[in-house]
Amino acid sequence: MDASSPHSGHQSVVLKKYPYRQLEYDEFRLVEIQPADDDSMAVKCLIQHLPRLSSGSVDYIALSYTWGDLALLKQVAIDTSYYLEVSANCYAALRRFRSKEKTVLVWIDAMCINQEDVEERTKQVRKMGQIYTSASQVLVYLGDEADDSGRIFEHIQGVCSRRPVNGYPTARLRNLDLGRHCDEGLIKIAWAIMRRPWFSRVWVLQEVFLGVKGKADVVVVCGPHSASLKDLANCCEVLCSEVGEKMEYVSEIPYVLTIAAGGTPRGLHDILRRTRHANATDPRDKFLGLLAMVDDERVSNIAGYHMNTTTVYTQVGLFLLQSVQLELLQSIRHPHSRYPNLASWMPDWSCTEDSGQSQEIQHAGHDCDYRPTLQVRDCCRSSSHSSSSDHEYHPVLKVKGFKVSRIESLGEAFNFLGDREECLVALKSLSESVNRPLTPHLPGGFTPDSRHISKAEGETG
Amino acid sequence: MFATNEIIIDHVKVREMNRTVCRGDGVIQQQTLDQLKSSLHNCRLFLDESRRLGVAPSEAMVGDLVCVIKGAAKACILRRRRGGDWVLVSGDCFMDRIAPSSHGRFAPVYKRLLGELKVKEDIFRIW
Repeated sequence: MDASSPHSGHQSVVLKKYPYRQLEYDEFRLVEIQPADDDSMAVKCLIQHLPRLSSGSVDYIALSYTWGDLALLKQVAIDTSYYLEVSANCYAALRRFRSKEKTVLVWIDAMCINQEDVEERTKQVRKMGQIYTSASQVLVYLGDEADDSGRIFEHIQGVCSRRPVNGYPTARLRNLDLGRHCDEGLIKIAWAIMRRPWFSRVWVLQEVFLGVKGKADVVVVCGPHSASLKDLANCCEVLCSEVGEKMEYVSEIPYVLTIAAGGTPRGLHDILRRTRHANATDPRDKFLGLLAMVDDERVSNIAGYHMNTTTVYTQVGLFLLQSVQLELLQSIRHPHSRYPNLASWMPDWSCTEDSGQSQEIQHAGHDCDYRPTLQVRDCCRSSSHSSSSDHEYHPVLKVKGFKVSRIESLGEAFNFLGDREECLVALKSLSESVNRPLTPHLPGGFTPDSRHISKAEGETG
Repeated sequence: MFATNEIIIDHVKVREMNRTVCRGDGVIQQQTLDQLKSSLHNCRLFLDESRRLGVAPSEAMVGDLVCVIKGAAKACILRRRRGGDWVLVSGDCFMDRIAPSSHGRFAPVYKRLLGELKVKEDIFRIW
């Protein structure tokens, strides 16, 4: 391959793609970022194999970031003659954490796992718990400074410098301090930060969970600024509550910080429901990306990357049927269509819209347990054109129950996701349906787009 | 139609408005709106044969069956599939007067509902 050298100064070197050496049992890789005096210099790394991970044995940083746009790839020089292609955001993270004087040892998924080796991916993903809890620090890379984002970090720094020596006696006092001296500009910055892609990804939840659980400090880095994740999450929550807005994007992060602090049982069903809004490029990661958060060791062997999504979700459904029985059904609000061979009673975890509330499920006692029967059907015969090598099977659920009635008439579907006007239409149709008039005053949360503003002006003028 | 000045564009105005929102004059609170949004988005109201009101997903169709499944937490909607048996349309519905117990399960009220509705228990095979 004729790759131009990303390493300035060696114009004529043709780099070859880095040939991964297979990991031996318990082995893992770390990336050593080479120092550079000048920030504009190309990133150069070494890849090390280490025999095994144990807390404190090696000082390394575990990175938490998002891959971002995979169409924008950049080459990282490995040693003197190789390269690896990584996303532009991964490259930016490596450059941000590079030091001027010394080498920096990091664990970064895109390079420490051979992404082309399915078996290795499955094995390493199961070791994520070890990798992030053994790190001396978990660093979050939010991206470059933008939209005046530095101000919020300065604000947090200011509050922290005035922090009482023994910490705040109550959360209320701390929140009061974080909310003090804030202005509209700062609130807008908090909003923009919360909308950065990092907050919406499923993988980061587990990384934060493990970072906090391993007693490592989770620090968020954004451009040249940094703050503790707890402070940033608290601060943004306080600022956004000033405007009465719900923190849609950060809502899973405080949850993860709470469960990492301990005391809360972490069943698979609860965690799957709570993280349903998080995004994953690979739908299997909606389950595989949060294995280490679940406090039931059996889950790690349910599925892997050698299975297709239908099989992964089927395995998860069968496991849940054993642990929460038919409570599982409440995780299916809408019929799923993405995976035609997935049984209709199995939740499609990649459907982020499916569960409206991410509220806690109330568990009843064992007194009313009812175990349904399963009949396993082979569905390979019905889908003869299946290109997948997986042996998909279709479990049929046999349950007891009774018919209440039949649907006789249906109203319009509500749409609350659109702009303000669409929401008003939804509310109006609701109020008409139940025959209770509602006034058309909508508090915030839905910003109309310019389209509708100009339309409204046109009508009055 | 609303006057243009009623359209709230930036969060500053929203913030002022939320502070002046009074309770009990028909103005919807943000919290209520969030609840409405999470429980009704992409859903429809429906009426059944006995004119009972319910909430079903937008994909529900006239003729679909509303049922209570033993051990489930919410009312379910089932549809006949070609070749017999059933498919699950939704496992998370609401229906007036068909409410699970305060523990969020139907099991404690299952027998009482069976008696009240005067229906007999069935076995459903769901694909």
